[in-house]
Amino acid sequence: MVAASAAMLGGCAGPLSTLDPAGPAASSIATLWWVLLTGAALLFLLVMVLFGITLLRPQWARKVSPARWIVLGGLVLPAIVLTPLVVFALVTGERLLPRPAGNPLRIEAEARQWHWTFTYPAGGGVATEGVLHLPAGRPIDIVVTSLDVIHAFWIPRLAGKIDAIPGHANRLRIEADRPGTYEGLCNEFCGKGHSGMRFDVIVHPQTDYDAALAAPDLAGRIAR
Amino acid sequence: MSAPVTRGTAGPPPVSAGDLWWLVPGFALWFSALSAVYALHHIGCTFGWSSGAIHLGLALALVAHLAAIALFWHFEMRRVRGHAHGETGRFLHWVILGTLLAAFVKTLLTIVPALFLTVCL
Amino acid sequence: MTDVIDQETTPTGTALRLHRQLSEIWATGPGLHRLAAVNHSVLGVRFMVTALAFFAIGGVLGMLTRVQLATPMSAFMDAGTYNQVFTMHGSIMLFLFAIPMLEGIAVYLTPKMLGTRDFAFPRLTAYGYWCYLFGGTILTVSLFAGVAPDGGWFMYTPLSSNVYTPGINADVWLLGVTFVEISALTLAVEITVSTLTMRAPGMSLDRMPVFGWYMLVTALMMILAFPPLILGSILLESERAFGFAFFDPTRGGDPLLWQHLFWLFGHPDVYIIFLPMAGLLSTMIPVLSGVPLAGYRAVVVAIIGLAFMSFGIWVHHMFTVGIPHLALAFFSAGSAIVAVPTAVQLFAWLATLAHGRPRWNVPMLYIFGFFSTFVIGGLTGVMLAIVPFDWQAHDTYFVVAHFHYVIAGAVAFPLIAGLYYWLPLLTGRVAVYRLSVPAFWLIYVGFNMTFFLMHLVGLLGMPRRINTYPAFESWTFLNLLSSVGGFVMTIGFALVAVDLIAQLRYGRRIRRDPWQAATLEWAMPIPPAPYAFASLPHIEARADRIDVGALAPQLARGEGYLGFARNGWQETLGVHMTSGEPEQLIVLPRPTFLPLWTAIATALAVLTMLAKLYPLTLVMAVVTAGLFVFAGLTAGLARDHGLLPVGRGLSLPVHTECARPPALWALVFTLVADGTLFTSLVFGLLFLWVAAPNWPPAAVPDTSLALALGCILALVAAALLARRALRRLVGGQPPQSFMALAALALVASIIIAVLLIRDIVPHPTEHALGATAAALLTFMAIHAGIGLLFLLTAALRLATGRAGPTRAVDLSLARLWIDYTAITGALAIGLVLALPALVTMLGMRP
Repeated sequence: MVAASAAMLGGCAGPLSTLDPAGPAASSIATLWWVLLTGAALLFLLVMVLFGITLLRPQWARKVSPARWIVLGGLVLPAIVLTPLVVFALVTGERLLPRPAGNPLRIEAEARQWHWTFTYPAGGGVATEGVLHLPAGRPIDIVVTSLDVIHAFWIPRLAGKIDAIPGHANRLRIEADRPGTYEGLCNEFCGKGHSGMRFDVIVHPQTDYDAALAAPDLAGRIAR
Repeated sequence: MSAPVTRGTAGPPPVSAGDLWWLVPGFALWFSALSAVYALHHIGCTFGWSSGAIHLGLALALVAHLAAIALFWHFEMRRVRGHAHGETGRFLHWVILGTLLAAFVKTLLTIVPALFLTVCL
Repeated sequence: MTDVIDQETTPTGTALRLHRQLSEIWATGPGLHRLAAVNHSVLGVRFMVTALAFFAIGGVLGMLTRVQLATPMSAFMDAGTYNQVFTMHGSIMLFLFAIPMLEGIAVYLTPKMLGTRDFAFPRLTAYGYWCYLFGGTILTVSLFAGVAPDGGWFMYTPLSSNVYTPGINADVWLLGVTFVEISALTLAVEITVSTLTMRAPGMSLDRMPVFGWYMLVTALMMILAFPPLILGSILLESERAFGFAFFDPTRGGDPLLWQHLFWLFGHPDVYIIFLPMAGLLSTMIPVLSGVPLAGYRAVVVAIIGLAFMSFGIWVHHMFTVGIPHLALAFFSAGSAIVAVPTAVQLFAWLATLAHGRPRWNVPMLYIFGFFSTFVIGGLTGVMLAIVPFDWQAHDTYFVVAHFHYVIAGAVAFPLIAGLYYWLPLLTGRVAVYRLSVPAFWLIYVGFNMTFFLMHLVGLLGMPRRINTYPAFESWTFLNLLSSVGGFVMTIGFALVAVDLIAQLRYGRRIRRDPWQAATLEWAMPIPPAPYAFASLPHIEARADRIDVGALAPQLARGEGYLGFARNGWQETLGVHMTSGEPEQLIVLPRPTFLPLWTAIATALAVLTMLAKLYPLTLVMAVVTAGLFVFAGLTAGLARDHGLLPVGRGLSLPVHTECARPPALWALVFTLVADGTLFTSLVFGLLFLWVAAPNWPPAAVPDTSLALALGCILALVAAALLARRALRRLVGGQPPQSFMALAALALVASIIIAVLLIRDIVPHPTEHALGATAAALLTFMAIHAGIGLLFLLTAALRLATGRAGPTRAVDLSLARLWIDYTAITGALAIGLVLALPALVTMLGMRP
């Protein structure tokens, strides 16, 4: 298990890695993860040490009355750990909300078996398939829906995911720190083509974005 | 063989089986509180209530349910006054109070955070 | 004819004779008569063996997925096959292994631990087993026929609708799983009734071994949790078969309704699976430590709390569906808090170990396995309760790792510990133990190797349920290691199986328990006789401090209650629910083939639905109903018996002559389950009303007020007439005329319901509003029809003399059912009448 943990810390990078964030939402969540991991590791060690004590050093274990074991371990410990954790979690969640202030750019994502189509209202209704074009350093609201079954929209390095549900339009706030290429995928089982239902994400410098959308050689452009 | 008897030895009267229902109100109220706030928030968002109105509604629902749980604590304390307790009666009383306390804390901790969160997003 | 006690039993030297007399009465016959078994020991073993067989099948399916995923772009299985394999892996493990395994343990162990001879409804136990076997067979055969369900074990719509899954794959799941779940529900009712009313005299609730509390709470959870799934499955199957719009967003349905109904079941389901295993731990740990369980009362509060709380956190499976963050907060906080009752139990076990002298043996080794694995699973569970983290980890291999850790930790390890602990009871032999320790380490190391790495590969972005992945993702090495670990683990499981079979064959024979056990199941001959206890003990203190060695010979000699054979009856005692005071002499049915025939009829009804031969389904449904009526006809005893001696100077009435026999409680809890189904249906309608797209419908609902009120009136009349009939019967007057009038009122209500359904606007296939209205009215009509069956059974039993003024339970049951039908029917009709108003309110949305 030690070797596995070392391998873990070393191998965090990857095109779909949540541990290699490239946007503020993914960064917040990655930080949250490291806090959770540390806390969990400490708690696990604590319980295993206590278990070991009961078997190997019973004279120490017996000094604590059964009632105290139960109250301290079953009530006090969870209260101390869970209260700040849930508060921290909810504060983080609030920060990720798609608030109207901040002038987000709106892009529509339409999922169907087994393709993604993106429409850019700000770009005059340009549409691309299989490729999502984003400006760097600007908050974006992706409005996600599905034409058939439930899919999910996920760019792990930028933010969490949101389901694409027919009849619903779900809103996800994402932002990319820097220009570059990233990967996105469908994350909800949607039938035989689920494994291959992916899309590329091209993040343009903010100043170049409008021109790039208007350009005739835009990657993935669908002819109208 | 001795004369047949239909009841066991004398002792404290048995705790009525109906008293077992007292195990339910605590957590039933918690479930009611959860349903109420979930529905209230959804209905408020659907019908365009203001953020203040929704939060107020949640707070009122919370306080009402906490008060109801506290009321059942009072009922339970009153139920056992004047009872010949016996082991089973004492056990049931302890467990009932335990469920009421746990339900109170759970209701409080589950719903209070929402009073500080953004509505409808 | 007088009731004959076959020979006075004296305290000395008659244990053997008593054993022979009771064995003759309680034994299951040889050969084909084994198919007629109703005995809890026989059926308990059957449940467990069948569950283990399904575990093996599910395990092989899991290994197939690991073979597929070991390398990128593997050609081992195409997507279509893979989808069937992983769906069946999950479905088999959860529906055909986990739940039936805990049922088998409950059926085998609970009566013994509670000091009674069998459960309340032996024929129902048998029916439950056969339904499980047939339903499981249907599901498994579909795999070999290539039409297994392929939409994931939770079958999200619209993927599982007939538009996107046109074949019968989804129907196999919906019908097969519902078939198995209904049998599980009947067992849950039986466990509840038996735990509450059939214990050893003197075993008040505070003297019940904690395992009894665990099973009682689990059974009540099953009663409340299965109906939402059963409802959802019925609605989805009707949508697939008849086009009713429940989940189709283009017609006013909502895919999220399925998810809510499913997870309302699904989350409590995992605690239903966990709690009995925790019960096993709470029984083994004190014995292996030599001290009673620490914090008995705290543990009881904790499991009651856990049971309730598990019903309030289901949305944590749906954190990414677009529900507002504030609403998610309720479920996030709740899901974190649910760690508290779990921690209370964990620390109660630690406290017990601390204050005892734990012995290091094979069960204890698996208990160590439990601690280290379950804690990891619990911790990752709290992580997943954190909403922003879940937004990244949801539906990735992180979740797969989490739930396998909790399942291995909370189910597999305690289960194997329990097998090593209790197999000496079942078989009368102790294990050889050469293989046990290496087998454990193979499972432990293999398991951790397989699943620990999945946490990482999930965080690296690998989603669930993909059949392959490209090589550049950096997932390859981790997947390969996981697959290797899977093989190691499988070898470990295989070795455990070999070890346990070796114990059966070559284990050293024992006469008494090898653990210095302290609970009643060991106070009997080993292996147990079919009657379990030759005489029933009187309990003076908490029944987890029993001096098994001293008690067993006393009971064998007949010094307890019912230490004799009488009339060839299978007898046990019914007690007061809280105090354990003996109240009834319960006479149980002897082996019969009827449960098998009834299960076959039910299976044929299911198969004809799968084949879409609906007229035949109707026929088989009538046959099944007829067989249930027939079972009712032969229940109980043919005449009054008055007070009968039950030993130790006590005389009690027979259960057929009591006002509240077990059958009445069974109906009460069945109605709780039914009420949950009804509440789920009402919730479904209200949910669609506020949340579904395409509301309001174009066509305006319009229900005939006259017909609706007429229907309510008919139902109320039926209820009042049934009450009157019962009063007349108990008062010694003939009730038949009132029963006939009640039946007429029910028929009237059914006819009106059919008319109302026919006139529903919008049509059920056009909009969900019409579909849910039709569902509500159909619910009412079906319940009125079942009310007719109750009245019919009562009438037939009155005619044959099995029912009478002192044996009036049939009319009590009918009255209770009709009351329930009237209440829910009135609510259903009221809701349908309110539909136009609901639709108008929608117009007030901004």
